[in-house]
Amino acid sequence: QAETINLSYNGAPDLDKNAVHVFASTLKSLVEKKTDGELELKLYPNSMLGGEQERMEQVINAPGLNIASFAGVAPLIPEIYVSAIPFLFKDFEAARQFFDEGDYWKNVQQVFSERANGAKILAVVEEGGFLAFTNSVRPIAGPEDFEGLRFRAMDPSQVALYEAFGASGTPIPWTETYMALRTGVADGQMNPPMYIILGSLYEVQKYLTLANIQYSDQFLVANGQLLDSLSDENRKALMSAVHEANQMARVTNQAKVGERLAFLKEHGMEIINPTDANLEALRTQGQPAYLNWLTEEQGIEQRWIDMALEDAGMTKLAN
Amino acid sequence: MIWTMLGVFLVHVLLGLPLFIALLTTALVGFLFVDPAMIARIAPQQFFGGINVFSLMAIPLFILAGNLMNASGLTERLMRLARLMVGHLRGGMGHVNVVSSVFFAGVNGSAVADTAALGPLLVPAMRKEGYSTSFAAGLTAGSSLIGPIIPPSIFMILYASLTNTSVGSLFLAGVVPGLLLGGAFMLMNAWYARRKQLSVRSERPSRKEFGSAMLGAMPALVAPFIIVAGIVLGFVTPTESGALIVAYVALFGLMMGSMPLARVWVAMRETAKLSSAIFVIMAVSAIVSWLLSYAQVPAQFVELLTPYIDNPVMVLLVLSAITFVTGMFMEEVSALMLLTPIFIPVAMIAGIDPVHLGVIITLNITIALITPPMGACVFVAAAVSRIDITSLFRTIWPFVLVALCILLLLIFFPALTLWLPALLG
Amino acid sequence: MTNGFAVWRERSLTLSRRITLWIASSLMLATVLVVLYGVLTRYVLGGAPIWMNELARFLTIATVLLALGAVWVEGAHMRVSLIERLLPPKLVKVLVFYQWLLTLFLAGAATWLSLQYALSASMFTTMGLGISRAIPLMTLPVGFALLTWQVLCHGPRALRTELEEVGI
Ligand code: NA
Ligand code: NA
Repeated sequence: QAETINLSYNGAPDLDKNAVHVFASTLKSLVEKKTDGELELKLYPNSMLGGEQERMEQVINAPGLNIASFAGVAPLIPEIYVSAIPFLFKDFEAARQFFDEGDYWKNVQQVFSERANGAKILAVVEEGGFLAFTNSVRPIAGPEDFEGLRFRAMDPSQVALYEAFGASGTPIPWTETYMALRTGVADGQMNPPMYIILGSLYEVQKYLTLANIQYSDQFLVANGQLLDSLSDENRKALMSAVHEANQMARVTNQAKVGERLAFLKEHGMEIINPTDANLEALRTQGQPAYLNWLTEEQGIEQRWIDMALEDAGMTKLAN
Repeated sequence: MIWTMLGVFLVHVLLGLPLFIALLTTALVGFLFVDPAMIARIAPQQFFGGINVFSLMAIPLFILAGNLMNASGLTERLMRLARLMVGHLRGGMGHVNVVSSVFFAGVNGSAVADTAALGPLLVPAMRKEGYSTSFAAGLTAGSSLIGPIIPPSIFMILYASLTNTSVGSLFLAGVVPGLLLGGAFMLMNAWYARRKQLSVRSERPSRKEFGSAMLGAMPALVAPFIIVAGIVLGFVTPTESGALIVAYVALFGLMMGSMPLARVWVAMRETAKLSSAIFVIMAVSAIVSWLLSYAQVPAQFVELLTPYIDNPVMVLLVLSAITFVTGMFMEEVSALMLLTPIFIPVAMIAGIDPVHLGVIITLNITIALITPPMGACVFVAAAVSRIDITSLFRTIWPFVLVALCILLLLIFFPALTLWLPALLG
Repeated sequence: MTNGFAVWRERSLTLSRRITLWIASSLMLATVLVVLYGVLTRYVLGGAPIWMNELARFLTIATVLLALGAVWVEGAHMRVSLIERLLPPKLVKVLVFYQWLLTLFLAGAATWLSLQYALSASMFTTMGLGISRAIPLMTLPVGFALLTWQVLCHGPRALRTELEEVGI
């Protein structure tokens, strides 16, 4: 008799376009294989069971799995915004190590579990590479190239970042972003290549700057009672399936980023790789604005920031 | 489970319960099938989540804008302009009816509001010109369909919020279909006037008269351009454009002295009441919709349509037929809320543009407003024309047919909807 | 039924209706002002406050729920009343009683369930206003309690049917 576990997430069930779906479907087959079909995952893509907030409430209160974005996790633990400090990671390697081995992340997991009725964050799922700047005015190599540009912002932290570079940021919903870029209401925006392709933004943007702004990730959350109810054997199988699926998804994801950049280049985008000196300049100019937003607007204690910077090997950051 | 839920729903609707109560009962029965323990968790969550969406806030704002249009006398100015433009033709008042609806549609997002606002003035005027009451009431209900197709549109806002489609693109996509509908109804009216040998009554207006009417109606005529341009150019979100138009109409009315504050207050209260009636249905529909998703109805639906999935026209025809039948028996907002999530996966696989699908579904849902036995616009048109509903339902079919022809035209020629968003977007 | 009770009942129904609609209309006005304020600050100060969006949503939801009962009493919720005109009077009485009982039961249950739900969500902080999620959620039990009260007061009488169905 198989036990069915629901796994909900956002985005289409499309292996080509949705990195989260790649992870979810790999996890499904691995779990079923490793438990000899004793556990069975039922996939609910496309936010079918509700938005981020609703799905998070469901996974806290009832047996199930959910892959949450920042919007789902942050209302419970705003400290998670610390992991999105801009220019925190040099590359995939650094970001993965940060989450796999760092103290900051262990603390987040623990506090989350306390606040979320025993629910656990089981994995950090890569979503589509790092965020990159795009714009239609000029190639951006360093902070000075932002002067006077108008950017589409997703939230106030992005506004703060743009303003730190002498540009301006306007909140525009994702659904209206293409139009805003096309009509010149905004000159640019930031997103991982996956979203630049999904939203056809390459049609209306010329320059793409690979500045590794933020690591793009979501979080696999499991209900506490569900984990407790499983037999030791099945729980171990589930955990190892999660681990394995995540490793596989990372490999696929990293390979896809290359493919996607090639696609964007083919469709007329100019890709800019800033020099190390320029990346450093972006970091020193951009980070304080975000850190300020973290402490002032989100009321996050300094110790979380210190811990994260330490884990990322950035102890001597100008603040 | 689906069939039991459908049965419970239909029985309770027919028993005369308010729709949100019928839907709530349906949801309750659905939960008994799935897991009764979920009621406590899911029902309040989905109720709140279903209406906790910023873009939906545009709905009360556009209702309020329509109410204020009437309170400030702007609606009458639009009608005066329409009369000077087409009133001198044979069957003039019928043309005035359609053209007024086109003008009014630029501020108003709902068909019932159109019928309720224009019907009481136009139906008697049409009768005086020799129209039968049933044709006059039918044309009023029929032409009111233009309201939700020409931007702004409450149905489109709802669709966009369910599918993450750009409201700006949807609004632009509705312009050509809306004008086509208007043209079709005017042709129909001209044919009727000719057959009935209606006399030509009024004289051609002087240029001066026309100019002053144009000037008087100008504030209302530019409103849709403000709305569409504001959204498409990204200056404002649809919700914000709703608030801007409210402020614009209110300021205009108060400055012209044509609208005492007391009427603004009445408009507020009526808007709060109608919004409450609409939102509670959206909220409760969200619970039912969740149940359908949980039971994986959308996936089953995709499988059902897989044989036709290579043919977008075929898929659209099937989806339209389902919407048409559903719309006959179900209130429009809940039909839209329940069907859209089921349709979207199919349409995506079939490669149908979500904006095009949005216009098709919106037109379908709108047509449902004039089909028996649950056509809200027919009820209102019958009430304001003092004519028996059943007899109006018998004479409404030609109007339904005309609207269906436009629907088919759009299905076979997607360019009619997608051309404008591509051009201006 | 005594005359005094009937008078009291009508009075309390009218009073509840007036007060709730007055508050609902005020909240409606507040929503318009909040959204306008958001647009204004964005173009004058260069950035709209992040709580604007959330406040507008919560105000509208409060409007909707406060007006719920008043709209019910006025018979203005969308419904089809055809059958009431076709059935013999005796059966209509039974039908109206069933309508009333079901509505009362669902409204009462909704009050209780949404209250429990609101209380259980206090661990979440809303993203915009930074308040406990329980606060906006409390509009649900309040609205449903008002509906329950108004349904109870109204009693098993036929709803008004000026228009068979009002839609958008
Ligand atoms: Na009309
Ligand atoms: Na309209």
